[in-house]
Parts: sequence; structure tokens; C-alpha cells
Amino acid sequence: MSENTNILLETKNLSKYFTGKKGLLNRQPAQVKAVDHVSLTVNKGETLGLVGESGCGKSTLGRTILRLIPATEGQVLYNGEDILTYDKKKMWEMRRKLQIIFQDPYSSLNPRMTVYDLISAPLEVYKIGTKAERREMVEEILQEVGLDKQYLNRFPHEFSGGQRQRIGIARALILNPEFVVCDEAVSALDVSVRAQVLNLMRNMQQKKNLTYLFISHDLSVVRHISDRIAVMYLGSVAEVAEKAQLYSNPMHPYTKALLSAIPLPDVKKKRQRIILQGDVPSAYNPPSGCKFHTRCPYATDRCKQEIPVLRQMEKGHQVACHRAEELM
Amino acid sequence: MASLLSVENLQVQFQTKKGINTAVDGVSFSIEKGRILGIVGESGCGKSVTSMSILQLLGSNARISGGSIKLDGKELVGLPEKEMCKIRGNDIAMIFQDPMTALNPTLTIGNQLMEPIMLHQNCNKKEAWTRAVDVLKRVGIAAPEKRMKEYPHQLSGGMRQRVMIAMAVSCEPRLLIADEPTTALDVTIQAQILELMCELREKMGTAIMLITHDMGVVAETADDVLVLYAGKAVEYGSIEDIFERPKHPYTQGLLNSIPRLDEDVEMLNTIEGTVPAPDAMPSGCRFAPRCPYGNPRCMTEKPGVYHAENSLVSCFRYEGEK
Repeated sequence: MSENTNILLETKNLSKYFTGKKGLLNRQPAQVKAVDHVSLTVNKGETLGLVGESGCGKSTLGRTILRLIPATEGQVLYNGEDILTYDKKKMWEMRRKLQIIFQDPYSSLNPRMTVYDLISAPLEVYKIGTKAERREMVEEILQEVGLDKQYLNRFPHEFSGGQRQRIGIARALILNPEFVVCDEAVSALDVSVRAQVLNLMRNMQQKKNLTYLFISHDLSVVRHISDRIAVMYLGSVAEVAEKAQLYSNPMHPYTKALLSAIPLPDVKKKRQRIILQGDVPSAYNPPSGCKFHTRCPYATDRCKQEIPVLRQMEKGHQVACHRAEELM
Repeated sequence: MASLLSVENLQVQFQTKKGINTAVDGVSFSIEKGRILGIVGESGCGKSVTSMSILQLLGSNARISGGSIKLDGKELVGLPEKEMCKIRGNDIAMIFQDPMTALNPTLTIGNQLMEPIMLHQNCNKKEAWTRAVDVLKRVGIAAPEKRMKEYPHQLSGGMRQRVMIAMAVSCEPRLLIADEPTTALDVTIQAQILELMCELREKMGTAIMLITHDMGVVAETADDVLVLYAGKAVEYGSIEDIFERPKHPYTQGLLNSIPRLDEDVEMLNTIEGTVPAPDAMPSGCRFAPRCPYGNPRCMTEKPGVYHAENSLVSCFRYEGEK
């Protein structure tokens, strides 16, 4: 396989297409290429940030990797083995190592289950420990995520958003997973609580040696938590780089515009802002060639016809743009 | 000269099953013509309730229980509904957070845009149509004649928000209240909409009250900032004062807990604890239980509003300063 033994997870040309309903008028069902030939690597113990605007396929990619939705084509290599080929039993074993933290702590916790039931459910599914041992494990993880054990018999509605997200984290981590997808895990939280949860996630990562795929639309949060960052646009990866490289030297015109569009909580710095014209095109009918060409200020005829491939520009920095060299 | 809008000691109470909750308690601020006031705070701090009470669009379980709201010196609290109708949409207009639920899905963009114009400006249908097309053009919508005949679902999120803004500015209001106008939008679209709002302010001299939880959005657009916490105004000052020299421990904590784009830190600064529930407000300073400087006096006694340099701060630490 790969020479780099540090790679935990690798997607190879991973695609997920959703097919619309065949109707009376549209005989050819429309196809949405939510994730379109994505090849990414995630190293052991690192956080890969995945950013992009709504509808760019970042959540779909996260779920396809975990096989929560079936992939259309491609491979997901976990420690060099393609987990998409695993049968049900093998995958069931695998799922212990793969977890997900969802965005909305209000809808991702069953309102009729107590905190203890919620967190111990994975242990019961995998038949781990005796009842007393389970209770001990739940109490321990609860303390680790910063909740008191007196909360064990309470229901989710008795908690604030930040506390609920802590319960979600405890539930995801109780099986000691290796790889955790954080799907907009802090987006629903207020600023002061968000900082608490981000710190908790980083603490847990160091303590338990976790690898995160951190999906978010918030570029300043992603910058804080990630080691490397991948930028997606309409189902494809536009740029992948080390955090410092991406923010100091963005190469893809989309990344540049995206970074310049973030409002900074700083009144002294006035930046030259690149304002993109128009909206993200519909995923049902994506533009030909480079999908970004309709909004790109540097688009040429070549961009309209030829799909750019992700290529290495410098060490650890990949860009999918025909004109990356010229625009440097 | 009197301010365009001056709100003094506004108090709003909600009747709930558990008793009366004071959602906004003694909030004062003013907006001059052509200025942008940012109102920031976390969920439940009373920022939306404040804006709704200016327009008197509060639900039946809420009432303005104290204070005054003056538009150009004219008292709005206690004004009969009929009078208020003439002000809404004409003198004061509002942009809501979610353009999909704020627009009527069964009416065309044209119909919805023409309604306020015909209602407030005494025009016939033909004139209203021309003015509506004109205002769509002004908010940067391509092919406005075509869009007039379309329905909200045919537009993208950014477009819908532009239509909302067009509708709000169609009668050239003196005050525009924007309640989280870009929260539902992507960053690149957010940048477009914020630019548009600043442009309208320049061209039409509209005063804007911008309500948001995003400190970045405020820093880039507002002139003055009011920071709310749990229904109380904690700090009020110019944008430079708030961001460069924050006084209140809450403002300081809030600014410190935002991940920065220009520096790396291992751990973020946090404000311990959570916002108090509306039915369990601390009896003293509402921020006291989470405040790093909290002392026994803060727990029992409510702080007044004190001058600290150019800002107004509600914290005992600035009591002596003048």
C-alpha cells in the first residue's frame, strides 16, 4: 500500500451520487454528485479540517467514509484495508473504531433516554463489561467530559446545548474509538460555550490519541482545531494544505475568496476583500470543467472545458486549479 | 439634535407558566441618522426581543413593562395599533434571519414587494411595479423584471435575502432593523449582503440596527456596539472602544473565546459555566456567577451603569471612574 505508514484513513476517488426521482416529465432521473472523486488522506492522531459552504458535500463525505450511507464508487482505506468491501459482520466490528459527533445536540439525543442509557448504549450493543463495570465506565467518561455523575439519571431536555454536546462526545468516545468524524460539532453553540467544547475536544484527542475529521463551515474554528485543512466546493476538493500554508498562502481562487470573506473581530485590520459574484451553482446541474469557473475572477476557456485535477504545488499543499502557478 | 431612535430603560416581560420573566431589563441606547448600531450577545440575551419591542411585534404573552422608545422624539410605547401600522414598513423596516420563512411562498416576489409600496406611498399598481423593479435593481438582482414574476422557492438563499432587503428599503425607511441578516447564509454570500447593507446606508442615509451573535460581523460593519447579557446591557460604546479596550468582564471573555485567524493557541480562553435560565436569574449582577472578578457584593447587588473612558459599563469595577 502506501509507503507512509502514518496514514490512518485514505479515500480513493470516493464518490457519492444521489439520484432524484424519475417523474412524469423528467424521464432521466437527475443526479447530484454530492461527493465527486474525492481522494484525501488523514494521518494518525491529526485533525483534518473539512470546510466549504452549504451543499458542497462535506457532511456527505463524512458519512460516506463511515458507511452510514453507501458509496457510489471509490475506496475508503482504513489502515490500508478497504472498509467498503467489508461484510456486515466485519463492518460491525469496525464500527467500534469509527464514531461520529453530530451538529445538533437537540435532535441527536433520544429525549426518552436518560444520560446513563444514552452513554451506555454502545457498551450494551458490543456486550462490554458487567452492569457494574459499565456504570463505572460511564461515570468515568462523564467526568472526563466535564459533567457531574449526579446527572446520570436526567433526560436530555434538562441540559443546555453545551452540556448536551458533552453528552454526545461522551457517547462517541465510550468505546475508545480511533477515528471520529465531528460534523459541525460546535456550530449550534454560543461563542463562550463553543470555546469550552473545542477545548474539551482537543483535550480528549491528546488523551485518547484520537484522529478527527472536523467538518465545519466556520473557517476560524477549523483553523483553531485542525492540523491540515481540505477545502471543498460542489463535491470536489479544491485545495488541501497544512493549516499554516492554507491561511498564509492560499492558492485556489475559491480559498482566497473564502478566507477574505470571513469577518474578523478586529477593527484595526481593514482587508482587501474579494467578493465573489453570484451564488453556488445548483448541484443538479454543476458547471462543466472546473466547477468554480462561473464565479472565478480568473477563469479562462480552458477552465470551462477541462476538469482540473488535484496536484501537488509544494510539500503537503495540493490545489485543483489550472492557473495555480500563474496566480501564485 | 435628537437621535433618530432613542430607547430608554426598556423593560420587557413575558408571562409564562412559571411566572413572570423579565427578558429585557433596563436597556438604553440610541441611533443617529446614517449610523450602524450593532447589538451583540449570545442566545437568550434579549437582542431579538429588543428589536421586536421597537416594532411592537411581541407575542400576546409579552408586554413592554417599562421605559420609552422614541422615534424622532415621538413616543412609540403605548401608540395605538393603527398608528403603529403606519410606522412599520414605512419609517422602520425589518430584515429577518431566515428569508425562506419570512417570505410568503404562495405570492410572487412582485406581489410581495409592491404591497408595502402601495400601502405606504399612495401609488397605483403601475407605479408600484416600476418602483419595485427599481429597488430590486438597487439591491443587485439581475433581470429584476423576470424575478418579479417568480416565487421565493425559485431563488437561492442569498437572492431571497436580497429580496427581503429590497422589501425593507422599498419605502426608504429611516431605520432598518436587521435581525441576524446573514446567519443563515454562507460566508461568501454573507460578504455580499453586508456590503450591500453598507452601500444602502451610504446612499440612502438609513440608520441600521444590526443584531447578531457574530463579533466579526459587528467589527466589520457597525459604528457603535451594545453588548447584552441575559437581558441586561453590559457595555455600550464605539466599535473601537469595545474591540480595542473592552471593559466589562463579559465583553472581554467573549472576545477572548473567539478563535483567531492570525494566531495559534493551544487552548481557547473560555467563560466558565453557561447563561442563566430566564426563570433563575442571579439576584445581583447577572454575570456574577461566571465572572472571574465576581465577589460577594456582585452576587447580591445589581450594578448601575458607569462611565469608563468613552464607554458605558455595567460593572462595579468601574464604579469610581468618571
